[in-house]
Amino acid sequence: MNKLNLALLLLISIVASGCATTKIDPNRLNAFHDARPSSILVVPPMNEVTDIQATTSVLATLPYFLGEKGFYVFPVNTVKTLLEYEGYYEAAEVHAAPPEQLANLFKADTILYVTIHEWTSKYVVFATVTQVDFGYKLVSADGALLWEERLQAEYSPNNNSGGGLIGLIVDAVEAAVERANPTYIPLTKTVHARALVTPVGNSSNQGIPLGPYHPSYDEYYQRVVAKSGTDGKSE
Amino acid sequence: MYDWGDYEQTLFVVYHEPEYKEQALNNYLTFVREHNGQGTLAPGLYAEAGTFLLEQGDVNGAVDFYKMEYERWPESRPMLGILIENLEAQ
Repeated sequence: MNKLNLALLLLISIVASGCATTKIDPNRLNAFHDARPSSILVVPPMNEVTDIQATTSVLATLPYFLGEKGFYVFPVNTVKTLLEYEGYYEAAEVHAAPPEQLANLFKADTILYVTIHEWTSKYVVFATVTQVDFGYKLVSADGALLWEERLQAEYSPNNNSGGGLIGLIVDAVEAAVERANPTYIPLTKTVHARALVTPVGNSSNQGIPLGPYHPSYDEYYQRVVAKSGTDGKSE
Repeated sequence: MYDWGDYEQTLFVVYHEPEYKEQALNNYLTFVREHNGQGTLAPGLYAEAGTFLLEQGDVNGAVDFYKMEYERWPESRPMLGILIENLEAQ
């Protein structure tokens, strides 16, 4: 009986939850749609945790998702290097700088600020749970907020061992492997995808709008305009 | 939509695994050179190659890649225009 409880407890694959999953504001992308940005400047993420790998891992995994959405993504390592030339060595300094000033340096349409709230690997009972929690904020060149999201996710390896003492030992070994080489990167990508990507055929306003290099960009904005014409805009 | 190659992996190695950096950068530069200015390479990737070369002290090589990015992506022109001008003045 206890074993069943444990099995249930450990049968966690990936659990991701958003703050706004229950009810999505239908107008949440209005400011983004009005701005129709072409380019995104991803500045180094701010890290509220101690693991220094968190910042660069989050930074390195963002361009793919934004580029495939159809935006020009400023090259993140080049931007990081140029910001350092300009005297911005710490992410906190970059996040504290006026967005107008940063956008003007690169002539970017928007700036993406990411904050890493959680990035941990914990040994619980006899499995290791890896947790991440990211906040995303997209701000226009004049400092207006266009989009924001906050998502958490956790990962724990499936427990499908046969049980008994051998099972426990195998689990402990797997937990050690998981601790030494945590699955942060797949988890990070899962969270980025949930935050940014709109599932096919989904009209629930999930993710961010398309950028101008996406083949469906014109079609997307025709739909947005048609919809705002029939529904009427809130403002 | 685009070719990304081992871009992410290259960044991880550059930031976290200095012992494999040279190999990773060589592979990345080979991958980017194969595209030679073509549009299928993902945004930012020519410029990143330029910055990697600049860090190695290869100014001419860096400028060549920056120019490819500049030609392919109009959004990069304000940033790279100044950078190219400054590097060519050296």
